[in-house]
Amino acid sequence: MLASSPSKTLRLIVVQPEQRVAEALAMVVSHDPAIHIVETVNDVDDARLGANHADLILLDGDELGSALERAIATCERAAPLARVCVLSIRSRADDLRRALAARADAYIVKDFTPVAFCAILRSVASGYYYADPRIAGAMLRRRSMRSAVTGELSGRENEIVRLIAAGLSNRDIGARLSLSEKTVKNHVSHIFTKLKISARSHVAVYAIRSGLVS
Amino acid sequence: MAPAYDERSVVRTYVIEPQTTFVPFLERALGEAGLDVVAVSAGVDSERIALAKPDAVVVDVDFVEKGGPNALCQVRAAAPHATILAYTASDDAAFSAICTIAGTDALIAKSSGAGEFAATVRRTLAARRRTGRSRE
Repeated sequence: MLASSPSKTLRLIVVQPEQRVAEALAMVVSHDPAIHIVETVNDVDDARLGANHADLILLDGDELGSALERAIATCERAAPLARVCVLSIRSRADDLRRALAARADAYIVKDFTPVAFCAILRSVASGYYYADPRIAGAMLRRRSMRSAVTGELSGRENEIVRLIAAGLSNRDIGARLSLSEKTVKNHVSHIFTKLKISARSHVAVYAIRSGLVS
Repeated sequence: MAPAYDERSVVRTYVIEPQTTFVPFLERALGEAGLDVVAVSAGVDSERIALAKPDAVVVDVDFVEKGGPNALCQVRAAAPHATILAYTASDDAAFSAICTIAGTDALIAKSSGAGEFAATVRRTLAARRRTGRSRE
């Protein structure tokens, strides 16, 4: 559920070079009297970006294209307290990842309703992050399916990794965990497959890098 | 500066119309506006749109699957340089604003006659070319 703080008026700066789109955004935002557009500028290099104590800055990811990262960095420098929302027509995981990696606080696909859009802005202004749930959901599902097939180790496998890293043989691990040597061997085989490694020494390296052992 | 819209130039037009009964009217109105309809589909097929390389795309935003604004986003992603026209029976200003944000260049009312439809299409094509956003 999205959080909101309707009592506070949010100060929004819209960065939009196309006037008719800027006017459309103003019309949509006008549905929420708690959101006030304090400035509309053509680009992030406009000095007004840092002069208006904005809570939120709205960037058009489609207009910015390859300049998105630089634009977000410029917003951070000019208005460090403002949160940056990226609008886009694109529903691809790569575009979402790119925006978040560039430190955007929200990635919003442009097919919203006015009510949903205003709720997202309020939520982001109050400290939450927002990623379009259709893209984020698909990413999480893919990740879950991947880890189910090859990915992350189970609790038992992590336990065995720790013991391999401590230098124990399969027989010793079996004795420690009350498992047969053959069962331990199966677990080790799965661990090798999941981690895409071929030697016990690699397991120790993985254990250290992943923080399983210090 | 981008050249003004030339009524003699060929305008390859892609129509997305889930209601097949509207298709003959759209084809006639677009023909009157001097546009060549190169493809008609009932929904957004991004791959087909990209392959068609249309100069203009007409989208019936009232009936398309997943809603008009979503369709417009997909069309704009598939044809970034095309002039996109949203065909709608809605006169709701908020819906119009959302369609504009989602990528349409203009909305055409379903109540428009063929002449008015054609005039809106021509005006929009010319405006998009003036701003240098269309493929020249």
